[in-house]
Amino acid sequence: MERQIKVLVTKIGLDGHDRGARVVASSFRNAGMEVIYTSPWQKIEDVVNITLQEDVDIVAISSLAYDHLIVPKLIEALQSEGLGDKKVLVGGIIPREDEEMLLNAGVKKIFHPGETLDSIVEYVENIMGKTSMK
Amino acid sequence: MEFLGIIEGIKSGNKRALARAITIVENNEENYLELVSKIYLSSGKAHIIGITGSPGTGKSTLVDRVASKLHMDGKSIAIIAIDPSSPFSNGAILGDRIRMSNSQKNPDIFVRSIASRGQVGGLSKSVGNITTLMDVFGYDCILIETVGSGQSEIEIMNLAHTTIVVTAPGLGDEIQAQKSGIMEIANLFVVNKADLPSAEMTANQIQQMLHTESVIKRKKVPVLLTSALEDKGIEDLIEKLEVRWDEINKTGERERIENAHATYKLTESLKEKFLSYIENEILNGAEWNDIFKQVMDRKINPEYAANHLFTRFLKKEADV
Repeated sequence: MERQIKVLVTKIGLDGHDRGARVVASSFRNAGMEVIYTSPWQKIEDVVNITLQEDVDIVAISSLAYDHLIVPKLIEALQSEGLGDKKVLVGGIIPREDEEMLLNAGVKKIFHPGETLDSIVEYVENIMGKTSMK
Repeated sequence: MEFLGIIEGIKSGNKRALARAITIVENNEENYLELVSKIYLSSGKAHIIGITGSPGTGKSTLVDRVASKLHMDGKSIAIIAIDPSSPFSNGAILGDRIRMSNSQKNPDIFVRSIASRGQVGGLSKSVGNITTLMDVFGYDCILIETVGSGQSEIEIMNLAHTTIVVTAPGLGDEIQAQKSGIMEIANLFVVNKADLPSAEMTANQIQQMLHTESVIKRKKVPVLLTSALEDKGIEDLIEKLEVRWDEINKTGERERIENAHATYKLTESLKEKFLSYIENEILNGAEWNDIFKQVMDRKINPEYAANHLFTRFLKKEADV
């Protein structure tokens, strides 16, 4: 049996605009993935806790109002819990000048406005090597 | 983390090991059977509590409040929250955590979201084994929240020591309460959303139904009113859970329940083995296409055709 990809879709920080996160979550589901969906305003330690308990493969962070600036802290917290193998993706309004900082911190990929849902799904399938067992 | 490390990890309270082991079991990964076989030997301590009921009755919120309260009383708690998989894409949105704000913020409560993966009856095939893993990890109580798909969702009674059926005001009249299935499996009834006006009436209707039942079966099922939203009635529910756990341990009822569970698990596993064997033998058999066409052309009735195929199969097995 093919192993199903498990994704956490969430928002950290103070911004509650979660329409985009919901749409992306639905696309993941429609592609056959199992999606843990939470309410926005998660604290970093909550995201670490969920990632640990649910044993997800991917942590997808939606950020529309500068919450991406705390993603490096999240990655640090994940690493200190031994969860450095989880792939962290960021999508939303991310200024180009912050990209390098995020990628250096360990973000695997950044999705900007205009990205199609299909290409996001395809990216996740690719890095998870879909067809093969982990 | 390799195999032995995972077993040791679970026994010594490593949550990462538990989470990884659950994934192994969920995906039937290599070694999963060996893992659960080893773990099974140390199981059998936790109070397993099932929470079932229609969608929208407030199960997740109720589970959250019950878990928090039990935790405050000094119990260690794990939650398995099951949501449906899509029959088309196999994907799932696992959203029970949205309603579990208290448990989510409490790292001592272990919450695992599980997709039903095509299983009917409100559970997922791996839930039994996941429960065993959590039991051996050392959780005192394991709360299992079923999918909540409706009246025939009774599988949970084959797994839980205590089944709570959650309902809410305004979902149906007294005839609904007399129906077979889900209404019969409750050890505790909870009318949630007691903040709504007709909650008392709903509770009365259930009580009346149960009164007739209790005369026949000589057992009394408590009906409780809760409002998970307003955090009311939860303490009463916890007390009833504790009373029941004490009672079934003292009276030998627990052994009877676990006997039924073991019978169920063993026969179900056997059925599954037989089924896949027979399916392989018959569906790949020479006769299948021919018989199937005759069924489609309405020349043979499907049940008759099945009888025929099965008889032929038995004969072939006897010859081998």
